[in-house]
Amino acid sequence: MSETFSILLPHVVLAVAGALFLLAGTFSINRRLFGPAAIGVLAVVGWLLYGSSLVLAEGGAIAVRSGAITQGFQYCCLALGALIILQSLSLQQEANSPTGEFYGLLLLLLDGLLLVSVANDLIMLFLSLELISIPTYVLLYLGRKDQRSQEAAVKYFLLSIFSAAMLLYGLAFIYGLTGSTQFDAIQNVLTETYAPRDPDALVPNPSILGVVALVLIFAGISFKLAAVPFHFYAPDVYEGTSAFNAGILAVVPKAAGIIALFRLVGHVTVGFEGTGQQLALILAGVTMTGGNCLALLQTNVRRMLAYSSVAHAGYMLIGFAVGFWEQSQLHSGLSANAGSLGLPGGMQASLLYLLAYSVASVGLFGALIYLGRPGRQIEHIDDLTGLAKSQPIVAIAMALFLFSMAGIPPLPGFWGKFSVFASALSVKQAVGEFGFQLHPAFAVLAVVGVLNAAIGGVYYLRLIALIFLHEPLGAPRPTGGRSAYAATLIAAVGVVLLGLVPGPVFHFLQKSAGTANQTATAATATSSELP
Amino acid sequence: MADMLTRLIPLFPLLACLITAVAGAKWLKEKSHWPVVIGCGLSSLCSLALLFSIPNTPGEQVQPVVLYQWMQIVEPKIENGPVYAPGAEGVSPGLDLKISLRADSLSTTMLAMLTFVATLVAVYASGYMHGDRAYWRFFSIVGLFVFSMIMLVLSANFLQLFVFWEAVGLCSYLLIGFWYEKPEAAAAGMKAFVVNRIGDFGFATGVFLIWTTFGSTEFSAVLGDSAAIAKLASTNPYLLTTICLCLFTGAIGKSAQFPLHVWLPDAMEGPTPVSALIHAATMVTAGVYLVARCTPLFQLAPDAQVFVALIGGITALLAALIALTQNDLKRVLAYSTVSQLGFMFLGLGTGSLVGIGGAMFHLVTHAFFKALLFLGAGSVMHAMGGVIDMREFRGLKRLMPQTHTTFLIGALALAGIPPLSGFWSKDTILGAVYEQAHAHHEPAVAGAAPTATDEHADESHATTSAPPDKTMFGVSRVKLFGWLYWLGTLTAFLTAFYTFRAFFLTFYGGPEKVPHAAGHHAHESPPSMCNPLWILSGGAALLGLLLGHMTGIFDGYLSGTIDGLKEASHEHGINWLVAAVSSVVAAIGVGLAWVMYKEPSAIPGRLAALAGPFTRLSEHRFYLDEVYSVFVVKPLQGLAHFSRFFDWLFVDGLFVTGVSKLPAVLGRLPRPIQNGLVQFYALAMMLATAVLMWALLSKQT
Repeated sequence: MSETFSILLPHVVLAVAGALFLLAGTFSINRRLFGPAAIGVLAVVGWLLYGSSLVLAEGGAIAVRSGAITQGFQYCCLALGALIILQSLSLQQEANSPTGEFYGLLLLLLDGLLLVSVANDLIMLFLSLELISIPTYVLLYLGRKDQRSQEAAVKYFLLSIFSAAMLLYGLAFIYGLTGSTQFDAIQNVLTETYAPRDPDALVPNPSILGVVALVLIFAGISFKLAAVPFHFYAPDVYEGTSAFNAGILAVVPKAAGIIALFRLVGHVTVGFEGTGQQLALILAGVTMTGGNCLALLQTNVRRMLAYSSVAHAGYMLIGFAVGFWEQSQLHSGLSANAGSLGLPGGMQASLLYLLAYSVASVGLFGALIYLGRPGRQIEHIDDLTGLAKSQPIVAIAMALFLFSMAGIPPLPGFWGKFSVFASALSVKQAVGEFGFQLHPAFAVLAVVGVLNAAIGGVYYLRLIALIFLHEPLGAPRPTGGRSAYAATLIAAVGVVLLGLVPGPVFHFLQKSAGTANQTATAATATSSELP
Repeated sequence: MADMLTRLIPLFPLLACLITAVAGAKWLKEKSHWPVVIGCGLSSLCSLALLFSIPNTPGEQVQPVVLYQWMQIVEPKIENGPVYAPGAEGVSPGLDLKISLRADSLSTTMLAMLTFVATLVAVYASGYMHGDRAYWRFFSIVGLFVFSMIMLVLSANFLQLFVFWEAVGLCSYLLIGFWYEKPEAAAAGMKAFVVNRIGDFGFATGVFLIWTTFGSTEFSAVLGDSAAIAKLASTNPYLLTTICLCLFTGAIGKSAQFPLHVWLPDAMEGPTPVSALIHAATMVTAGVYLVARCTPLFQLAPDAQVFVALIGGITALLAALIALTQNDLKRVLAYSTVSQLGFMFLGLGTGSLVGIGGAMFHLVTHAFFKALLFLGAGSVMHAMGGVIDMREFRGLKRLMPQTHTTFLIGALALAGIPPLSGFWSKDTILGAVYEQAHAHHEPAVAGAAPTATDEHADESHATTSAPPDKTMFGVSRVKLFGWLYWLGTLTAFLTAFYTFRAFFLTFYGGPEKVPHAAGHHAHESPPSMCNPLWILSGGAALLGLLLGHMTGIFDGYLSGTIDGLKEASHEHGINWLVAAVSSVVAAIGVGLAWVMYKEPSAIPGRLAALAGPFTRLSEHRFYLDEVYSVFVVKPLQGLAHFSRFFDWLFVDGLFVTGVSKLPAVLGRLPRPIQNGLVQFYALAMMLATAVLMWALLSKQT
């Protein structure tokens, strides 16, 4: 009970603060009041998180579970959330716009994101994902009042609830299969049935229900990740909505989807690893290729970034394909080979990728916010032509973000791609009695990934070339908003630091990967001792 | 203390470079040399102090100073030893990227030489470059070069070595093309850059091979682990030989060895202080340093060693022959540099510790007397208004007494006249080659190795000596080194001759004559240029006597890194026969030059006519530039033209709009699907789920 409380306390505080903001919106619409207050709330939540991590380093209760990776993820979310709020201070809105509601919803959305990462129960997981989605609908609606914006909001709303239904359906199947919604219980049941310790036990094929559940869960989460073919909404919505909302959409649902998969894999997928691996492999390949190829054609900045975010989801899915493989090795008692390069495992590699991607995305959209004015947003890529002449510092920051996304060393995007591809290449297949060779499917996936990185390089570098090598087309755009400027610079510093000093993050992920594997093995061992 | 000094040494030139780069154009202007002079001077003092403060005990691993750890994803246990496991699957090399400084006796020796010469050259340049439009730019790049070179020498891993290897190459390119308005200078810079790429490709390949083989690029894990190298040599000698040859390819490019030596003479288009510092004393010796550093690898790869010796010998002779007929004073010195570097590689290629020590010693003495000669040539050039063609001036002795005397000391040292420094170092190399050539006469003592009483020395010799008497060229090793010895002696003769030919042509050769470009105010150079000449000539004259065989200081110091060197050179002593032969030969060379060039005479002309084809061969540098032009440059240009056509027709025409537009075309295919209709999107999601489900379920059953 006390564990549950100590884990939940920061989340409860955040939720209550969000609700209070909604209430306070009735009395004031002062942006200068709510923005800093929201950042203050995030700081308090961070402090509470730190306190709870002192009480509870690793472990959890029935519905929630925390650990080193979760806490690391939460700190990153809070930091990025603070950056997003900082950006929002530069937004110019019409009079009487509901400011309190705006910040209240932002806080609730962040709370949802934090809750996903501690969810240890199917219902908890689903509800926290919804806690992200519902404020997002409203934010999309609040963003702009023109027809395109409304259309984008409606599109996102309809497709999102559709995907949520699929996710819920999949989770229901898991419940039906195991009779529980609690991760540990599910894991025990599944392990007993599909991956017993006793090598002589009769192992049934994964049931049809399990496969159906897994596909449905993946379909639901793929929408959040904007993985092909669940990505259709992304370009339309990004284009239709404001740069600020697009930035939120590019980061928050993706992070939620990744961390949700991270929670699910290894708990509710025992026995279906083969299926999960194939699913993630297919989705990763299709998503990377589809996203990058489509991004090549775009001339609208936000639309291009939408497709680029699709492609990045593909790279992250590679790590999960490897994660499934590692789990299957773990359950069949083999060494997972995680860290053959001294690298963190596949899923940890994806988390690293997510971090690199998120920082660069927040920074990039922050720059777009800074450069845009109401009614004169950055739309066409030509709007950025010759930016280096008028806005050299922002241009350099944008180049850093774009280079990072393209995976150029020494920026964090490079480390993300490096660790994801390296994890794919660490997958070995037994040949004969002692020999090992590269797993062909993963090798192909890594090659596809590298080719895609090259395709991706084209449109990122094209943008950089436009910014730096061309003369400005028109008069310098009026820009404004010192806070968006500051947020962009902070993100740029973050990108440089993460790139130059990647060691701590790597080390952290590697260490926690080891602990996670140990706990998983321990859990399997205990379950096998049960009568 | 040592760590502190190690950190400070690269810091000063870096600061100097930054200060000059930032403040040079606007504020420092005519004073732009001060930061670099002070920075190099402080570095030099620190380097001298470092010489005496490193714990220089043989066989002990030096702990590098880690400045910045970029990435380290290796298991911690790998830190202490190599992971080399031949043929073992699943052993992936770790990734350990850092900037670290390793101060051992080899690198501190290089450092002391480098920073000392750099300081003098910086002082000299303040006079030489005076009034140049881009005064500050020159000193800024020189500061960057000194920093890069220090970092190269102090590198504790191959990766960092490679990075700064490229950095010094970049500085060299920038300085060769310093007067980029001159088309020749720009072309020479380009040539140096392109030719060096060929070598660097080999070097990079070597580093990759080392990484995949040893699982690390740290010197301590690769070179410091003799067990792993021995294992590799016994299980996969070809891999080891390949690694060595790849590394040596890098050395060929950087140290201007045949067949990649063509860039160095052209590099003389740069300002003369640059020629002295970069293209004579320091950067071009990086290849020698690399091979000397990799001694533990080369010692177990006899084939690679023989190749090194062969290339060194060929280069030494070839460059000396070309130098005979050059009329450009700086070019004579440039070919002489190439030739002397060949000598160093010859010494390294003998594979005996004495030879390696001799090569390093020659590197240091050569840095002094060749820098001296170049600066002397620069002094002449300065006085002659930028003219350096020896046919345009003569008899400058009276006009430039200081330059004359110092140049004479440098020339004597280069010619190898005892007791100047060049004699001692060159003689050590020739002695080592001689030793190899006569190894089979004493089979009882196992090749070149003497019967060492010391157990430690015995062990080190067991690995170095008794290489198979069959080389990869099918010629007996002894025979090959026999040829190389005579080749080296012939080169010694030629060296003495062409050096003094240049000397007499410049300072004697009849009544004083100055070119028009010098105007009427041809004069001795200012003190800022003459004083460095005196200091360098002191080094050129005395270093050999003070540190060489007579005292054994150099070998004793270097044996901290090259284990067993002290004992080996002590055992060998000095080969008086070789020394006598080479001194006599050098004296003959000097005498011949005296006879032919002291006074204007008809002998050279008649001799040249007599040896007609050979003269032309030498004058045209063995037509190597032409050969490259016909066989490499022209075909490449042809290829380039063809490629452009091909590019236009197929790549741009078909490939780009075809295959490379494939992603774009692929992207266009689903565009109709992206129709903005939300019903359709939902349907697509539904269908995709169904298809995935169907595919995976059909696999299950």
